[in-house]
Amino acid sequence: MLTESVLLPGDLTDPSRRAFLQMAGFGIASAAMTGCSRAPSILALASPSASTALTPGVPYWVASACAGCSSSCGILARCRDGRPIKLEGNPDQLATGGGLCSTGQAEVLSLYDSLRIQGPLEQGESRSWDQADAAMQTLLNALHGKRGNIRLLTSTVTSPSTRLQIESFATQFGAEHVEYDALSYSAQLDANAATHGVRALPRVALDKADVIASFGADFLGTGYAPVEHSASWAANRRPDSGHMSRHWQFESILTVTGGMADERHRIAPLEVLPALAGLVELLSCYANRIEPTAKSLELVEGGEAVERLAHELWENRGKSVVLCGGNQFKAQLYANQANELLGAYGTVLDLAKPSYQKRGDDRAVAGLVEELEAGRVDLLLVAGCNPAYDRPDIAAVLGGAATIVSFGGTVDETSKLASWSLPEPHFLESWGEAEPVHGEWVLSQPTVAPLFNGRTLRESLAKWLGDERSDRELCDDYLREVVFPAAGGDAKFEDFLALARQRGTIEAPREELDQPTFNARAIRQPAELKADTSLKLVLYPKVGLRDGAHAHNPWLQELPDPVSHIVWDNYAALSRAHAEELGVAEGDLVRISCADVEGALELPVHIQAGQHDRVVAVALGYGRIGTDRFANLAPKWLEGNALIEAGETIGVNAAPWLRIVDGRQRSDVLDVTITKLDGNHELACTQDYHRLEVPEHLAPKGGEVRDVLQRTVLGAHAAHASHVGDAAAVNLWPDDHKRPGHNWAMVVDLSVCTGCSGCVVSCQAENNVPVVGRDEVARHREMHWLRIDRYYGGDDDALRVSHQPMMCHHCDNAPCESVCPVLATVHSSEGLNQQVYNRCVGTRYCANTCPYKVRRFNWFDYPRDDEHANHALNPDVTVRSRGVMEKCSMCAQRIQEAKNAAHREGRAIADGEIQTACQQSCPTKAIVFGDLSDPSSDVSLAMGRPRHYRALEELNVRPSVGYLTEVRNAPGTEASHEG
Amino acid sequence: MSRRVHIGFFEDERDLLVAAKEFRARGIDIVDAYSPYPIHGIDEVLDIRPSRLPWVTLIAGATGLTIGLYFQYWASATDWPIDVGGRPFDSLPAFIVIAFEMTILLAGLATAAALCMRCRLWPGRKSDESFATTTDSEMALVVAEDDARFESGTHAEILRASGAISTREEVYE
Amino acid sequence: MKASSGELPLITGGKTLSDVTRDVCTPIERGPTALWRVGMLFAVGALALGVLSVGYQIKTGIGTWGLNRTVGWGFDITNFVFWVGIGHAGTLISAVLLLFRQKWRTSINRSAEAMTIFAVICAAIFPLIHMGRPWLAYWVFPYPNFRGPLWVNFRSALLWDVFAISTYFIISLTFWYVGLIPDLATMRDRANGLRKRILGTLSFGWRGTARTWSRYETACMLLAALATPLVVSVHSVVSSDFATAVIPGWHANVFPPYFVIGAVFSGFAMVLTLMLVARKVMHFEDYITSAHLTAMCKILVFTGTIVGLAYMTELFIAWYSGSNYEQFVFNNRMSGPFAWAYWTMFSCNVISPQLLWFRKVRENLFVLFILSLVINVGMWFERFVIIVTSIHRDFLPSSWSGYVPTWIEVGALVGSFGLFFTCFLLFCRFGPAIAMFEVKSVLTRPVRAIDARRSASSSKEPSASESLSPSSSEEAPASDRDLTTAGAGQ
Repeated sequence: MLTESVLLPGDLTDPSRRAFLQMAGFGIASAAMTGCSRAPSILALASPSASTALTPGVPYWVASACAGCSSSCGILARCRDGRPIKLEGNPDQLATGGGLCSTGQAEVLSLYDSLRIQGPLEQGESRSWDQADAAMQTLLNALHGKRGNIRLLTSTVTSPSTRLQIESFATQFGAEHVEYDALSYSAQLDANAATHGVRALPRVALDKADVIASFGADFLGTGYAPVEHSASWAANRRPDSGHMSRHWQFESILTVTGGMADERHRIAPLEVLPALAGLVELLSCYANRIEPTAKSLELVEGGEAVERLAHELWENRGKSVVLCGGNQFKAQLYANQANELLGAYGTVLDLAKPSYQKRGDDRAVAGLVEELEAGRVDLLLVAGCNPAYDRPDIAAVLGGAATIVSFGGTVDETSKLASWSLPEPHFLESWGEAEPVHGEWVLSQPTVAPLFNGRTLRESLAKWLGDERSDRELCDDYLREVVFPAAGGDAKFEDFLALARQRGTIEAPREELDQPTFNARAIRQPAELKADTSLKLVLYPKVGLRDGAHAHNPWLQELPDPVSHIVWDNYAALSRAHAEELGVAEGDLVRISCADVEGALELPVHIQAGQHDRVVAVALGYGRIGTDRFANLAPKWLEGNALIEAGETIGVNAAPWLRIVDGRQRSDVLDVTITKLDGNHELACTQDYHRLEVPEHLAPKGGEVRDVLQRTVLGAHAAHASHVGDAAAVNLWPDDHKRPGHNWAMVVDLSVCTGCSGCVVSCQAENNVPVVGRDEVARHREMHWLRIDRYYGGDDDALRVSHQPMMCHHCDNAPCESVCPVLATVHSSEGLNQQVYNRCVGTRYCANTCPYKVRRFNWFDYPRDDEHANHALNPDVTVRSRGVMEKCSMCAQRIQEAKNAAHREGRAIADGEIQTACQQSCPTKAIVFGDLSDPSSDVSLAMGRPRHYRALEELNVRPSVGYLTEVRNAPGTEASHEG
Repeated sequence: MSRRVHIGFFEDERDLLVAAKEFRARGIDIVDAYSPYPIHGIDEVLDIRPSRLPWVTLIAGATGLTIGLYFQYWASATDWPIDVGGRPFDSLPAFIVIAFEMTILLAGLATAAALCMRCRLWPGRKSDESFATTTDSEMALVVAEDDARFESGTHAEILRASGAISTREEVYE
Repeated sequence: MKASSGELPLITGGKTLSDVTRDVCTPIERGPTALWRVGMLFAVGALALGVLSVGYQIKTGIGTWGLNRTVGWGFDITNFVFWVGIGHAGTLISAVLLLFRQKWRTSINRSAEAMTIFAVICAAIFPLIHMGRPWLAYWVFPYPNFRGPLWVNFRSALLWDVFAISTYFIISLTFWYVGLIPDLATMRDRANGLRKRILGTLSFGWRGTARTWSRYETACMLLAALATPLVVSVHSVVSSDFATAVIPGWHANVFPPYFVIGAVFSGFAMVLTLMLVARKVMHFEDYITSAHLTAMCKILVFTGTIVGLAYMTELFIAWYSGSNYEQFVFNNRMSGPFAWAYWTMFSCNVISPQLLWFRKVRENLFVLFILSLVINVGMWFERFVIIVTSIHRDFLPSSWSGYVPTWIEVGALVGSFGLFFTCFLLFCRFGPAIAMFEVKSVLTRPVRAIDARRSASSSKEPSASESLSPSSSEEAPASDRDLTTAGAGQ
């Protein structure tokens, strides 16, 4: 029973738990020793009564590392009564600066997933670990005896201690370890190996770049370290100084990154190579002081843009960088060459302190595939990946493995094929560490007693090697032997470790690999370039679901995609021109078929702005088996449509359409044909209208554009300063409402809001926002307290995407308050608009009169019957019942907590001490929250900025939320709303 | 003291009015008149003074207004002042509507109640069956016999002469 | 309007006082007609449907309606405003026309007022069931409690509604019942047995003495004088639900008069519908004559024209305001997704009543009937347009959305009509649908009864045609008496 296992130490026979208890005394001691409010993990695991340091109902923080993806961001888990209820970025981690992406935010719900595998399974039959170990021992010994082929297939392993175990396991049993990434970076890794002899990804310091040229690299959205890259990108995107970087994007589909670019060009997938080649030609001309010419550009539509780019890059050499997405080896080589010419290595790009966040090797996979085909694999251990779902080439031949053992924590396509399933625990309930960047470690530690009977790969391998150390000991020993000597200084190891665990991260001046030199010979004969006008299928990851590993997380399924704002589906995205040519409209079903792939993709059409006309884009990560678990999620009523029927899947799996081209997985090479089917599938989109310009035939003179979101360009923003008149002067009424104490307010910098939506999930987790399902969203009844309005500007060829986080504005003259008949929404003396749930009778009058439409009504009793999932609820926030209105409270519970703390300690609340959930999660620090009564607070300063404006200020509702005008570093000095 | 009365039943208010005027001229005391609908001009003949109901209405209305205004002010600005949409605690203009409704409500109910009390109308009250026809088509005039100037039979004659279709004698206790 | 009572005889068929009593009472005393049973069948059926829909909605949630985060009100408040509007005509006829001494009101005011009562009941249901938690509806009343005490928000137009509607209902009911008492007494004196006992209780022991009548008339004038400003206030308050909100298309100063006149317009259309029905079903052709119909037609033309003027004013102000949001809302109404609703409203409310200028149309009862229905459809759409088209596209384009009602919502609307007609038919069946004592007071009788008898004794019975002739009906004492006693309340 879960709750017991959360609150009680549980049976001591379980080694992992014994280990925890042994550590208990030390944990408390170290907490006392360091006087750090951040508790060492151990407290999370003892029962409240068992430990003096853990008071029931009092939250504490446990530092850990996110394993939601291989970026391995440091996190702080906010725990209560021995269980985590909220994850936040760890501000002590230099790389991320404390932000956290939507996936990371949602992990706390995955932890409480009731459908996780609860213990070892043999052919689906539950077994004890002893039985499992016995079986594995015999199998391994047998194979060892007859030199059997053992292969270990994993996704990128970010934990060095696990790598150690894998290595010794490999040597012991003659096994081979193959790593792959569902979203492969193999080509870039290989290119770096070729040009610099380092098979790693460069550490990218975008804050040092004045010109960023990205060819299809979605580094802000779904790259290999989106949080880190967003943070460093944003650092140089704040125009108040009058200076900001210039960001070029060449891409075939609209990505989060492309939307934020100062200059964006649509380019066909196959044009990337000639474009980069041309860029290199031009740059070398500049370098050799000869007249720049590039005949490769003849193959690129609008190649002149590349010429301008080349010039700009060259002018800023040393402060400019070229990033290349896709998994195309030659393109990556060209990018490296360009960066070499620009002197990006050592300045913007760092290969001396590289990133280990992606290590997958497609060519190694190719080897494995051959072996499997030949049936030469006797035992295949699969950990941390789901090849049967996301690697078609492996999936096709998995049958060739005599025995498959899966370490997956949930039932997935692969574990279904496995004869043994030895579940790994969720990272929030286990020990570990990761080295995402050379010489920087993040430590993860349990935040809760294991909910189920899982065991890490590390521990399992150790055990089969006859190593009896507990999982924790394995990690500690690694830290002792490798990290401590480098980073420990002269402290005792125990103290070092205790400190490290509380801080969650370690930076070590670990021996720098010297900056590798560029090997020009890597670039032999230039790639043969050819023009191509065929229709290409582009498979891409969405910010929410990425490679589909988290498809079972309802928060991520219902997260409006930052690009399309569609939830609960993938679709065939077409450009408007293309759709008109095909005569299809939004939601029409089409069949995508290809000569050399059997079967076809049948998907609803989504017309996507800014997409290339010769591209149809389909998101990966959908069509996971078991997603019919959401069948009962949507409210049931006469006219309600079920979210999904049993046996169906959410969306369609497009992974089988990935292709292997010269040994590497490609997602943009298939020539496809589209045929219109009859039938229509309504896509649930949270936004119906996508522009600030009102429809032409309805536009009044002078009112063609709504100025709720203000956009301008760098040259104009000084002039643009506070062009909205200050309405605050006018007041009809006596001012009865002084703000004696605090006056909470918020400012959002639209210049650096990338729409990544980490804040949306963060808000959902913090405030117990229900998930309502596709049908309700299609009826425009999504419940998110914080939504991100996305507006397109310009046409498909010069698309500009702007994001406007929209939450309750806590207006001082709130229209919603004066209309409520029962005083269910009133104003606090600290300027907060308070919603009193138990007083609300649900007239919805307030929602009607809210100019920002941020109020959310409980149309039904939304199901909360998953007892496991309910453990993710924040005990400080009421769960709202049917028939009441709800909305953003500016995290009133956090404000109250801080006020209580300050009161207890007899001090004032420091500026920045209170962080709202959205603010905390924002990787670009776009959101500032604070006290207006303090003239020196960040929020007061932000409101003083010339860029500051309030949406709909002319209504004189006096919102407490302001925005900083969105500025793009584009030519021109005209302030404009279209951008 | 008991008195003998003569009752004349008419089909036409005009006949009844003629009779009534006649009796009045002779100084004979008219007890009352019954009719299926209000007969205009009979008030003067029976010298019925104008009703004082308007005063009730006025007072009740004034009370409603005062209570309405004061209670709203007290509840919103005194008892528990709450910041509602930045509006002043004493939002007088907003209070006017409800104060007005209270005025009408009390005035209306009071008027109706006063009417019933003054006319002795309430559920279950017995009505004099001998005048049943007067709610349909007939009107009745009731005149008292005066012992002082006793002219036997005159009453009935006058009634008949002025068009009464039937007459009756009764003794009121 | 006043003249209308002169042109045509108000009551035809040379009715005597006892004729009136008989004509009004016998249908009540006799069993229900087949026509009535059929009507009742439909009405109760519709009501049942409504009860089911609303029951299901309350059990399951407001989600069973087609509303969304942007459009928080749809059919619910549309129906509310529509029904309140219907109610207004009744009060107008009984109170305002009384103050204006309009004789022709006498034979329709009773049922018009019944209509008011029932319409207000239908209206009151919707604000109740549109709540997310209707079982807590009593929280809108400022009763002492242990929450502070926490009172209510007297600044909210919705709370004004609570007071306005309940006051309106109570006063109308009082006014109506006071009016009923004399007629109940008449029925009592015809009845016997249990029926008599019941009527005896209901009629408060009424015995129309001269003194009673005199006070009674005063009281009725007072109630009328109170009801008149009340009826104006009620729809002004309802309009404040929108006028006091910040939403463009709602935030309009013209709303109070605009709503009141609209209410009278729709109300009279509904009275016309009902009268045309009652006339047939209860055989009241002699009491509800073309004189009444003509008078109502004229009011419809008048109010309909003002409603048209109000629409124009709205448009003008939107343009003149210079507010882009305001202008957009009206562009959006006229050519946006809900343009069809706007133009339905416009043609039904502004164009169709203009047909009533033609005598041919006025005198063709069938056309008149259809027209009255068309106007009611139009007035329903007026409220729909105001509510939905204003909020479905307001300030932030990101939040724009549509609105499609669900069958459950439609069921609630149908149900409200069911309730309305059930009540009305029951009333026609068991109550005096025509105010007898008032009709009696406007009967024109050429010769004094006594003279009539004298002439009768010489030459037999006076011919009906004689009493019908216009010349005689103009006779001084009669018309003089009519004019004044027409002032009698109820």
